[in-house]
Amino acid sequence: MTFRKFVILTAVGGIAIAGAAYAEVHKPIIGQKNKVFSLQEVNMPQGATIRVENDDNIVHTLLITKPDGIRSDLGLQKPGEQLDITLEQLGDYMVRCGIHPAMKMVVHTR
Amino acid sequence: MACAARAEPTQAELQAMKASYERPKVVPFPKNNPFSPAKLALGQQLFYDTRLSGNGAMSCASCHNQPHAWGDGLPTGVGSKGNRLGRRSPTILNLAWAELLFWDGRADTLEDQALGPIQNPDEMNQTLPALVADLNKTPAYKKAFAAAFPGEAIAPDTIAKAIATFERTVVSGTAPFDRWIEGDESAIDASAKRGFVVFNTTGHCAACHSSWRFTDDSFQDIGMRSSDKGRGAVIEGVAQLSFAFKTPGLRNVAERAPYMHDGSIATLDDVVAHYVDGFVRRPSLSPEIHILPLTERDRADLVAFLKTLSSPDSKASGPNLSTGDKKS
Repeated sequence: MTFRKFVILTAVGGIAIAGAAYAEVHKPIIGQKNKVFSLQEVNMPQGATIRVENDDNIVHTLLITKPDGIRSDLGLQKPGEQLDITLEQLGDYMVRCGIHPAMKMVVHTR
Repeated sequence: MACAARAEPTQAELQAMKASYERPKVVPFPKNNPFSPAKLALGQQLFYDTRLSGNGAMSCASCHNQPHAWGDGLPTGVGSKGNRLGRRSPTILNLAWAELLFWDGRADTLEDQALGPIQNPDEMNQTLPALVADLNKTPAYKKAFAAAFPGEAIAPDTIAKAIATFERTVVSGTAPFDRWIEGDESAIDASAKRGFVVFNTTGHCAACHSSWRFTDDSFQDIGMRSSDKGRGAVIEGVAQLSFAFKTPGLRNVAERAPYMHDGSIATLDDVVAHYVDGFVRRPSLSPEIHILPLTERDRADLVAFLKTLSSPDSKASGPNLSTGDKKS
C-alpha cells in the first residue's frame, strides 16, 4: 500500500466537519495493483465507507463476504474504476477478487 | 513458424526469475483448524474410507489417488455408480496454499470443499447423517475422533476439518527444478533451462502459472472447446468468467495427463500447441491468451522444463487403514 491514498477516518477526530461531507472527502481508498490489494488488513469504524480503486491494467471483480456470512458480488471493475463499500455490520468483511482470488483483504469494523 | 533471434536474459534477470520459485519452508494451517498428529491420522483414515460413499464403493482416494499424482489419470472423474462426471479430477497436491477450491472456485476453504463430493449424488452420494451414524457405530473412529477433537462430537464439521488437515499435508516433494533453483546447475539440462526462460518470457505462461506452485489461483477462459461455463455459472454477469476455470498448479504435471478441466488434451506437447494458437477466440477469452511466437525448439524446451517439476514422491496407493471394525 500506499498509505498516500489511505486516509484514516479517525486520524482527525475532533475536527468539526459535517459528517457526510467529511466522509466524502476522507473516504479511504484502497488500491489494486499487480493483483494485490494495497492493504490486506484494514480497521474501520462500523458504518464507514471504503473506496476500492482498480489501479491494474486488467479487470477485477469484487466479492464481499459480510460478517453475517452473506455474500455479494459487486460486479466487474475495469482499470481505473472505483467502487464504494459501506461497512454496515460489525465484524469482519472478507473482500476478494472473483477472478484472482489470491487478491484478498479483511476489513474489521469496530 | 518465425524463428526470430531473441536476447538471452542476463544473469541478474535470470536470478530474479528464479527467486519467485523458491519453495516455502512450512505448510500453513488455518487458525480455526490447527494441525495435530491425531487430526492428520483421522483425516487420512477418512480420506481412504469407502464409508464416505453411499454404496461403499468409493473413497476420496478413488479420484485423488497417489499413484496418479493425486488425480485419477482419467479424462473426467467417475462417480460411485460408475457414471462419468463432467470435469477432470484435480490433483490435491499443494492445496494448503490454494485460494478457492473446485475447478469453478465454489468452495472457499478445504473444509468447505471436503463435504461437497461426499454429498453430491453424482459423486459419492452419501448423506452426512448416514455418515455420522456409521462413524459413531465404529469404535476405532470414536476413539480417533476423541483424540483429534477432544470434547467434540463426530459431526460434519469435525469430519471436514480432519480431511482438510490430511489434505494440507499432501505436498509435492523436491523436484529437479527445485534443486536447480537451490543452485545445483546439473539438476536440469540445457533444454529445460531454456524452457524455464520461455515459460517466463515469450511463452507468457508465468502470467498465471506463477509461484513455486505454478499457479496464481486465478480463473481464466483459455479457449477450450467446451460448453461448460465453469466459474461463469458461479459468478454470473461477468463476461470474462464464462468458460473460465481455475489455473491448475503444474507440480508433477508430467504425471497428471490428460490435461485441462475436461481432460481433452492427451500430452504436454499438445497443451503447448493449444496455447500457441489452438484456442477458441471468443469475448470471454482471457486477456493473457494470445498467439505465441514460439519456435519448435521453444516448444520442446517448454515440455522439457515442465518435466523437471516432477518429484520422486512415493507411488504407494495408500496405507493399510483398516479400523479393525466391520463396516456396518
